Amino acid sequence: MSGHLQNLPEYASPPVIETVLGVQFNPLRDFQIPHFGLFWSRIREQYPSFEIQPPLGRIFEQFGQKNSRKDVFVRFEEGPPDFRCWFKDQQQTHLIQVQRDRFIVNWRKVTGDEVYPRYGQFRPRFQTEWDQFCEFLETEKIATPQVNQCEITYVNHLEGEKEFKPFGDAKRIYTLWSELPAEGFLPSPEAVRFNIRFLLPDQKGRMHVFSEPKLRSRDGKEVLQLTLTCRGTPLSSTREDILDWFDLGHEWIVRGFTQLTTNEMHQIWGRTR
Amino acid sequence: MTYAGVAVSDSDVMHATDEVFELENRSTQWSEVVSVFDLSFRKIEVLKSLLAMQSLSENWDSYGSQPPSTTAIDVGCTFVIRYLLDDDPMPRIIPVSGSGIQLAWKKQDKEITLDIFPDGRLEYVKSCGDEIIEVDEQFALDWGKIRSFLDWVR
Repeated sequence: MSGHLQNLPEYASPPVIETVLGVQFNPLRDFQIPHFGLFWSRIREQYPSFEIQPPLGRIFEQFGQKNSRKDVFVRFEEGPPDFRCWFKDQQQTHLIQVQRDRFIVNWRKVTGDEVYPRYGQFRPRFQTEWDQFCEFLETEKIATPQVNQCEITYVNHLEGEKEFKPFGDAKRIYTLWSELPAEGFLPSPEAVRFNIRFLLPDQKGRMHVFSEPKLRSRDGKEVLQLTLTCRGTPLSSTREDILDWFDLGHEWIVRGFTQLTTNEMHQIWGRTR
Repeated sequence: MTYAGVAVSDSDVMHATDEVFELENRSTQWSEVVSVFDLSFRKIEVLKSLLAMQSLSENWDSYGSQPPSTTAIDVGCTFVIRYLLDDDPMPRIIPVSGSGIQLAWKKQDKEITLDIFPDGRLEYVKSCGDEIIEVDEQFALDWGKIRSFLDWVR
C-alpha cells in the first residue's frame, strides 16, 4: 500500500467530511436476527449504540451490457425481514453497517473539528473490523462471505462562505465547467447538480462523481456536496484482494478529485503535493 | 412520494418524516444532509433557520431547556419541504422551551402558530388580536387545512 500513496496529491485541509469502505457479498442465509446481537456483543465496548435502518439495495457495476449499473432490491422469500444495523461509537464518528449482504465501515465529522483519518489509517481500521466480522462468522459456522463488489466513497463538503458563494458558482470549483459567454442570453446558473461516471481500467469497476447543493443537517449550512464513489469487483474474496481493490479505488478518487477541481480550490485546501 | 391532497394522521407524521430523509439514508453515506436542488431560496432560508436550532446551547432559555429535538426539527423540515409552496408566506421559526419549535405566521392582527413538540406532535392555534379563534391540539398534516390557514395569513 505504501507505494500507491507515495505519489498521490495531498492536501493539508481537504474538504472531506466522510469516508466509507465497504463490501457487498452474496447474502449470508444463515445470518439471522440473533446474529446481529451476537456480533454487537463483540464490538459493543467500542460501538456502544445501534440503530436499525432500511436495507441497502444490491448494486453491481456491469460491463458490456445495456445497463451499466444495476440496483437490485432483493427480498428473500424465506427468513427474517431484511434490515441494516448501524453500530456507532461513543463519539458518533465511526460506524459499522451490517446487513446480510453488506459490511461497511464509515468515518465522519460531527463537530467539524475532528482530524480526518487519512487512508493510511482508515484502511487498517477496515481490515481490523472486517477480520473481526469474518472471525465471528467462522465461530458461528456461517459461510465465509463471497465478496462480489467493493466500494470506497469520499464525501466532501465545500462550504459556501469559505469556498464559493451561490450554489451555482461551479466554474470556480470544477475544471470541467466553463463560464457562459458574457454577452450571451443566460445568466449564471442558480444551482448546479451533476453526475459523471468513469470506467476503471480492465473493467475493474467505475468511479461515480456526484455534485449537488445540500444543507448540512447539523448546522444548517449551505454546502456543495461532492461525492466520489468507486465500485467494482475484487479479484477474489481474500482480504488482500479486497484491500488491493480499495487501493485502486482510493488512487482514482484522489487523482480524480484533483483533476476535477481547480487550482484555486487546491490552494484553499492547502495542496502540498 | 406523492402527498399533495392526501391527509395524513398524526401518527403518520413520523412515517412521512422518515420518507423525506430516506433518500439520503439509502446510501452508504452516514452524514445527514438535506437535498435542496429543487427548492426555492425562500424555502432554503427557512430550512437553514430550522437546522440552525440544533446549535442552540443547553439552557438557551435560562429555564434549563435543551435545544429543539431532532424529531421536532425533522418534522419542521418535512412541513417546509412538502407542504409549503414557493409563493406561500414563510413562517418565523422560534425555539420553544422544552425542546420544541414554533412556526408562526402573522398578518396584521391575524396570527397562526404551529407548535411542534419534541416527539413530533403538532398543535395549531389561530387567533386574531386577543381572540383565539381555533385550537387543534392534535393537528394532522392535512393539505387542505394547511392551504386554508396559509391563505388566511397571505
